[in-house]
Amino acid sequence: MPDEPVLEPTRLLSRESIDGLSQRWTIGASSGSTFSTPASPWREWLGETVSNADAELRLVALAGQAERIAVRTAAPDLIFTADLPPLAAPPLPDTGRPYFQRLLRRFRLDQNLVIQLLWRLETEGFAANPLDWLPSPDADDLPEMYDLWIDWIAHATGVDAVPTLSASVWSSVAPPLLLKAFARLLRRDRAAAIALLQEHFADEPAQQRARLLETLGSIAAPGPLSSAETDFLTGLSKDRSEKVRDHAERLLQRRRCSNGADPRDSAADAQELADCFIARPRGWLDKRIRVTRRAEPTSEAKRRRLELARRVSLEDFAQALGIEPVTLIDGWQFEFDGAGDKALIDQVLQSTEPEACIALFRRLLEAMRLDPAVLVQLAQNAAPAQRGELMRDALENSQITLRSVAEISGGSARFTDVEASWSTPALRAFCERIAASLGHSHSESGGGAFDAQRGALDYDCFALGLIVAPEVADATIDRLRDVGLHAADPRLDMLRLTVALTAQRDTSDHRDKDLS
Amino acid sequence: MIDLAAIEALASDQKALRAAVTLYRERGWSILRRSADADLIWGERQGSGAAPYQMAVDLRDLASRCSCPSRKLPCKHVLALLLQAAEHPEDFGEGEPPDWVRTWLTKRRVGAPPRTNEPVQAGGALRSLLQADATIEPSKARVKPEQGSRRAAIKANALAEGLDALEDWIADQLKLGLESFITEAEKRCAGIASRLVDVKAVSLAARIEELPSQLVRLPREERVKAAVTELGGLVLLIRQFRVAPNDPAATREIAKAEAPATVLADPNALRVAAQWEVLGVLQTPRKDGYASVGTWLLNLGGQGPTFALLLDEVPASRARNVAIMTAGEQFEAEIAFYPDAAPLRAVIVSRGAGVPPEALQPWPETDVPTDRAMAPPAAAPWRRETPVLLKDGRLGRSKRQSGPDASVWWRDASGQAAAEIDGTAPPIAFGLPLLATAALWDGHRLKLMAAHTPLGRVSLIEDQ
Repeated sequence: MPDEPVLEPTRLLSRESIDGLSQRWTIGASSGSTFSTPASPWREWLGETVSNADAELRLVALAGQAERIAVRTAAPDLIFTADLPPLAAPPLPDTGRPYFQRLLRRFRLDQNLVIQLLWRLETEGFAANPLDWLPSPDADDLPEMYDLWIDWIAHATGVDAVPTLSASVWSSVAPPLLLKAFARLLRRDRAAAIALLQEHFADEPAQQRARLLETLGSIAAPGPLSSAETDFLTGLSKDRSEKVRDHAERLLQRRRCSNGADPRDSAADAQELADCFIARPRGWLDKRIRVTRRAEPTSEAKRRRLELARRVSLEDFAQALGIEPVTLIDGWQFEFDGAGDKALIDQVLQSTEPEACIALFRRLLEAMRLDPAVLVQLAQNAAPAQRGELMRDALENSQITLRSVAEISGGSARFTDVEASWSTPALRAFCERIAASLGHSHSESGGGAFDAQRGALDYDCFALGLIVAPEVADATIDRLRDVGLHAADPRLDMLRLTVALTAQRDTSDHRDKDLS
Repeated sequence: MIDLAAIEALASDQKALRAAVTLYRERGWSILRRSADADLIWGERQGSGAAPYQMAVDLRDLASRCSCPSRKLPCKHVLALLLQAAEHPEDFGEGEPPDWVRTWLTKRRVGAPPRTNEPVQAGGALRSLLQADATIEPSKARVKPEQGSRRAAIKANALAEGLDALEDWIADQLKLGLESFITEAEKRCAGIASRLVDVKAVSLAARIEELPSQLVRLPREERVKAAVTELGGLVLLIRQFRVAPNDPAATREIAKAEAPATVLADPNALRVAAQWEVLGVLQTPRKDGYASVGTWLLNLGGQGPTFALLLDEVPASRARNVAIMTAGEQFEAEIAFYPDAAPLRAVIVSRGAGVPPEALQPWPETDVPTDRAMAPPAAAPWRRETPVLLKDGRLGRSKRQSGPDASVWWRDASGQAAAEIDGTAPPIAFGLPLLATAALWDGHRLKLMAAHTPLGRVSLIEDQ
């Protein structure tokens, strides 16, 4: 065997001998000779005729070898982490892993996309392979099955795990962890989180009370408040801390539940706001209502109108105009007054009515008011089936990005008709952008701008994989290849992952049926 | 079908075209592939480095990419690939485009007309080049034989004197004490390294220049041991060279490695055809502005050496761009080893298709005791790092320290052997038994590369 290792040095030199030599070399060997020591096994190996200097060199060679092969058996006491627990869902099949791995590499800096990817896997009945991805210890917006891994990684990395919040553990959780645990519960079971908050809020110190309200505001916004939440926040008007009172007041105001306001005052405010507008049919034949703003003689009048708009709820405003909220939204004349438009958008976002959100969503698309954040927030108030309709509406707009469309669909809606979808303005525009990007090199169109466009297209290609139904993913790939993308282009990875997952699921289904 | 006229028009000048024809005649492709739709072709061939150059062409518009440093667009390698495709399309097997081709696809343009240069020769000149006598005129010897041997003798004498000086220097360090050596390592090593460069012991000089930074990375209490190990290794290397001045392995460690082409042309070089796995790619920046890029391969075939190292030395600024293989990738290849009693360094002779997931081979079983596996090979005891394949084990953290700074250890399942890890490992490596672990052992720390767990293979090198 040519690579048979040398083990002889350890036979020739004991640990004590090596340590003795090392000690001598540490301070310097000039003071004494190695050979003044009694005979030892390595003396023979060194030979009799060599000079002291030569013997010293041979000895260092021997000691060096002995050091290298003396594998440490006396390791310090070690702590071993428990095995990573398996999840309920099977890990991603090998056929899909290369795509998943490449997607992770491409989008590792955009956690939001990674989370969407994981939710998509969960929808298809799979979990990530932990060799490819593990959550961070403070992740709180992943599918629930990953809690096991979140706890495990917190333990493995020496970070305190975020506990599952309950009445019995609340008081034993450290303040920073309590906020994380509350945030996680709020996302998953809002009613339970509020019930716990009501029970324990008064026992928390003022600063922690304020932080809990901040958490509530950041996660619960912009959705409506339940009656329990309204009652709870209203009850905080007598809190000992001014900061807490302010937080509660702001949350209530944001939702048009002014703290302790007299209903008669609300009605008066709504009527005063309604008086700033005229709601009447568009014409003799067109009976649809148009809502137009009356001329305002002074800037003070405008300021007052906007102030009222911030206080009055959508429902009260519509009622004061004598029309339904949806009619108010349908009849609203956008772009005549940016601040007024924004006030109406805020009213709708805080409304409890999915229909109002849907109506505004469509009106904003018509008016080309394409703020993706607003559209996504509005869509979040719609039922899953309605989100599919909103996604299709969004595809009718050429200015919208597919990334926004995917967020609007919320992972619960996908298109199944390639022919119909591919003729929509959004997908036609997407194809044009792809074709344009393929026709321009980095140097021709200015590096930074080109990179930004290409990055946006990468996101859109990823998003396309999220909004197509698995059964049409193959056909979608063909369409993109027709546009000019090569079959091996990594921008097709999300679609290819979808194909792989579907194939695996179908195989499993067939196997299950065969077995049954 | 690729038109020769189109290739001719693509060439930037006649020199590029002639060089491409020469490459085409030499063949020397380690890989030739086309995509299923035949729109893409790509290939690999040995250049001046250990890792082969990689080139790809999109046949829809003849856009191309090559990993060689040439500024010509397209370079001779791409032109040679196109010639190969034009003349012998049957040589291109169908395959899945590897990651480097995919990445290039997202960054390039398509659809624009191919950028062509003025045809370098009119009317089928390329065809006549291809049909011309393939004999390549040997370059004229610059040095007369007798001059050459005299110079060689002078060079050998200088080298021997340099190595004597190095031994004296080592003896001096032992006399002066390793404590002071460690404190002044930077200055002392620079002095002797400079002397070694003068006598053309370039590899040895680079090794000694790296020593101070290696010592500094270790805890204070381990530095003497590391110094003893390294100085002892140098003594062994010098003695080997004295005993066998023609030993190519020792010469390589002291002076300079042979060019890959020399190894490929050597009929006595050990060649091993097997399925290989890329364990990982390790980049080590050096003080001279260069970086060593080592691609570690594991032999899955059962015959021949267990490991192979493809080593490139490139300017540090280019290290990231060196054509590298993907960690975990398995492929069929014939590999030629540099002459060595303990073969390790190698070049790829020819490379087959990437292995599909269903044909992935498991790592070889190892029943070598851990201490034996971690020992340097008898035939090359001066090597600083030994690749090892460790049996069933697990990673743990020292109880003495706490938090993320705790030292990380690999321990075998029996608890009999343990070794400290260089740096740390990804969290997942702590949560699963490591059924087998591939690493480099330098006598002080284990540098982890990859491991097999019950869930599959995990790469233990950052970013791979």
